[in-house]
Amino acid sequence: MDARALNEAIGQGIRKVYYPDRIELYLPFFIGNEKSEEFCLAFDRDGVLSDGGRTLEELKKRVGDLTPYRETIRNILDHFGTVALEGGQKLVVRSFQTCSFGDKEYLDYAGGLSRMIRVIALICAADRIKVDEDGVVSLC
Amino acid sequence: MLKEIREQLDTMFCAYEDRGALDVWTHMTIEGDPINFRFYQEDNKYARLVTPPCFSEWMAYSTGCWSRAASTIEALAEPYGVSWDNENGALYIRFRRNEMSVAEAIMRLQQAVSLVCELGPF
Repeated sequence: MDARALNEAIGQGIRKVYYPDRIELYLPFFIGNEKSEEFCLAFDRDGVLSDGGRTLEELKKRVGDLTPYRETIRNILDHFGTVALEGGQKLVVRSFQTCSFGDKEYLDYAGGLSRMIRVIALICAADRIKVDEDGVVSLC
Repeated sequence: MLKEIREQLDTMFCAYEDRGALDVWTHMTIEGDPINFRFYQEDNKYARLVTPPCFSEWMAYSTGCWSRAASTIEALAEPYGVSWDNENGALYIRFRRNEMSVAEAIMRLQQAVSLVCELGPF
């Protein structure tokens, strides 16, 4: 297999859909069921990245009551900083790190997306792990 | 703005050849070091994705001793079908190409890495 064939294989499962007013990414997350579930993460026209509330919705579906996991979820969000919970449900990234390449400065949207994926991974596992206020993970 | 985002996303989860090996660019970093995954096609049935050498350095640093942390690392990674190679300090996923897509394997390894790399000292 070469890079081109591998990119084709990846593209079949990680879809990026471009609209004039937003970009949607469909990622196959493993959320504890037998099969992976496709999650949509979207950038809107202002560059705001959101999970549409799916992460907490899926966790709630699995565990019922989120109350025992609130502290871990809060610690995850405090530790990662850039990812915020809005309206009690949606995970959102509104600001992105500024990076420079040569004399050009740019906002690191891909880095913000990567942090969002890490936060989703941790929150999806909130019933198996504990995260303390320093962001350190341990098994429940 | 969306054009700039699109350009950056075009490189995310993108495979590239590096000195004869195939790597998948994740944009994931630990303390500034990129965590990209190396892809191996074992035969026409099985493939493997593996974390890079800097992952072992990070695990040694954050856990103090990954051998002592090994059972916890294994327990954290196991639900994703991800295993811990205690000899090389790497996480990897071995999968049958007709049962799991490469994309799914990438996400599973990325999710396991997300949990494991937040471990504290043992």
